[in-house]
Amino acid sequence: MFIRKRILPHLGFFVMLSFSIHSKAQLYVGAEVGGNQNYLIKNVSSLNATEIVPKNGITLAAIVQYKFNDWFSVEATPQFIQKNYQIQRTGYYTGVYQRTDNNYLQLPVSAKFSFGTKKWKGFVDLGVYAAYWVSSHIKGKIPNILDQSAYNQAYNPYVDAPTSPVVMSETIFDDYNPYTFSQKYQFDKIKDRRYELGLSAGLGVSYEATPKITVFAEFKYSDALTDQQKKYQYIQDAQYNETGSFLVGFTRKIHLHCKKKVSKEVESKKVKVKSQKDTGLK
Amino acid sequence: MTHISNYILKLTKSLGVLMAVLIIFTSCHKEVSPTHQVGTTYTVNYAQVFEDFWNTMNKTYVFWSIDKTDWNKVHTDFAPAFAKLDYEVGYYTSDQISLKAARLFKQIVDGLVDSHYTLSLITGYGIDPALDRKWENPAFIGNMFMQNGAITALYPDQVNYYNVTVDSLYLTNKVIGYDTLNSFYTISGIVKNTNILYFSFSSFSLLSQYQNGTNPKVKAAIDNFFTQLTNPKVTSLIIDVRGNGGGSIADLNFLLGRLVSEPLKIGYTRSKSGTGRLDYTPWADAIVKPWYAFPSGFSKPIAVLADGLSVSMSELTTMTIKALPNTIFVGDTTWGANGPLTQNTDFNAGSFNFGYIGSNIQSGYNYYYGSVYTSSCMFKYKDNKIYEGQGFPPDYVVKVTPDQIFLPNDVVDDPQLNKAISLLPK
Repeated sequence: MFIRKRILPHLGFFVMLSFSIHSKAQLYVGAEVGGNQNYLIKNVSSLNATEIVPKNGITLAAIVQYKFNDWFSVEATPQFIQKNYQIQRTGYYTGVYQRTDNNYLQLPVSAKFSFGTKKWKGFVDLGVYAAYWVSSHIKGKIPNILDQSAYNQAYNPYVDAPTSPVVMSETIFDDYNPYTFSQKYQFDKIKDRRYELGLSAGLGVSYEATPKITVFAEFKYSDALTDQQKKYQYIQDAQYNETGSFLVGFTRKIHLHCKKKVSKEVESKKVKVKSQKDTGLK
Repeated sequence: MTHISNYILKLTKSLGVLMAVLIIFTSCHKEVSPTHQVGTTYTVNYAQVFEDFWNTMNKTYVFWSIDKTDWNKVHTDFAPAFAKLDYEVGYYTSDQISLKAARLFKQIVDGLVDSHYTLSLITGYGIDPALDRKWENPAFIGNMFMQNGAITALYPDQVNYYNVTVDSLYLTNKVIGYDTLNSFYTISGIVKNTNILYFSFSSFSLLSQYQNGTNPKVKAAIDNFFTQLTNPKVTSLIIDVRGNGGGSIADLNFLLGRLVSEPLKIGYTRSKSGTGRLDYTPWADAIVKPWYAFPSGFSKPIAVLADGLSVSMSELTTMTIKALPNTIFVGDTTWGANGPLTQNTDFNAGSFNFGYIGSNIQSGYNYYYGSVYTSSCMFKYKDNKIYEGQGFPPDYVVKVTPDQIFLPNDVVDDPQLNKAISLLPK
């Protein structure tokens, strides 16, 4: 509610302000790529010996940027972004884990504020995003309660001989054989929320390599405001993605004002004719 | 000068935006979790006991994906009812309040699909929803036999009443072992006038009995069975788990590992991966492996006898035998408790205590208002069906009544065993 009532009107104001001074507006397109680290924000303290570990993923994005003036632009960066994490157990349960690789299609729309010299600029961007959880892959290792050891002569508490040495279990896999898996995750319509809405913010530096091409590096942080799970039960542990990405990319200036371009050509022809007249050529 | 002032203006704007970003991201506080630790919630009244029970069930009960109980509605309906009990303490005796609480708990758990499920209260009340449901069915074998004690003749663990089971009368070359200390009974032998090997036992504690049993006759009976398995004259096998209430998973390989020559997939298990009702691990293959000392397996026809009092490991045994080629299941639909059990923390699911009410300082013993016995994993058979709460159906349905067992002139009969014998090569 805070965001809807307070932030969005201000964002709108900035956009309107920028539209009102669009005389120098330019369109840029580009691409960015980078790595990210995703944190699943969820309280697992009620689970025995369990922790969540952030995992790396990739971000690939196209950039469409509309630059209103030297310091303000609006950009949309439709992207493929992974939001990966791992839930793992500790202590006696060390080795039990499930890594989840989530693939999202995400559309951030940001207001970008730049400052600096003509060549080198720092910038800050702030925006919102909508994302769709396209697919997910899980892999891991869990104890398998119905896969008892029968072959292992070195350690087998169930051998026929009653004189077998008693060996204390150090991990759960001394008691149960592991089951390893790597498979596509089947979404659960009751549980999984496929869309995600959130905020994004970035901080970076750009360099104008040529009058048309600008390259940049940026740290971008996206913060989901929607629970990754639907509210399907009374009293539920919510879980949110928070993703930090380090991105490099470029933008290329696109000429928007074709009419102006034509008139420039006509003007240059006029200049040429004038110069021909001046030199006496016919 | 103008250039510098413009630059400062832009920088100020950008820093302002940066501040706004920081404010927004730090102000978006997310309500992440209502933390609840299993078995640690200190409770002083019925409302808190109910909340602890409800929360723990919510997190660790493994059958939510198939259970028909509306657990949200349970909270809506019963939280006020338990809170009301706290206000009634002054108006009723503690025994009356305890009874009211037990009745409320019974209403809550009555429809749970987990057929291992039992709930025990410190007040002495015990609730067994699956058994309660079965009592309502007149055809339930327990109804027909237990009331007059006749079932004791059919099931080996009750042999102390009759000294001999019905089935022992069918056998020759038999060895009977009975551990009175642990009430364990087993019998192996050859069905008279046939070459059919027969093996029965009262519970799945074969391995522990084999290694540590107090009566050497028990080991002798089990060894007799193992030896006869390799006897070339034996034409087929009957394994009888009627009335067998289950036991240790270790027996799966110890017994059935002798029937397979290579790992046999009998189905799948899954447990909980998180605190949500639908947070599940993937399905893991349920495997029976050849016993290392007995790698050749048993490839001859097998009949398994089971009935409505065959529970848990007895059902997994029945299903495992049915997963082998050339096998039949004779008898009646099993109990319907297939989910394996172990301690709660191993699989984030399973048995738990709730309503912590204090500890004995000297002994360190913790006291709880109640404890729940429930499965840690869900089992799905190889046909992708979950038989929890339903029971595994036989190929040949042979229902029995006491009149069929006890014939005139002290003659006893066993129609289910007769059927199995008739179907197997002699």
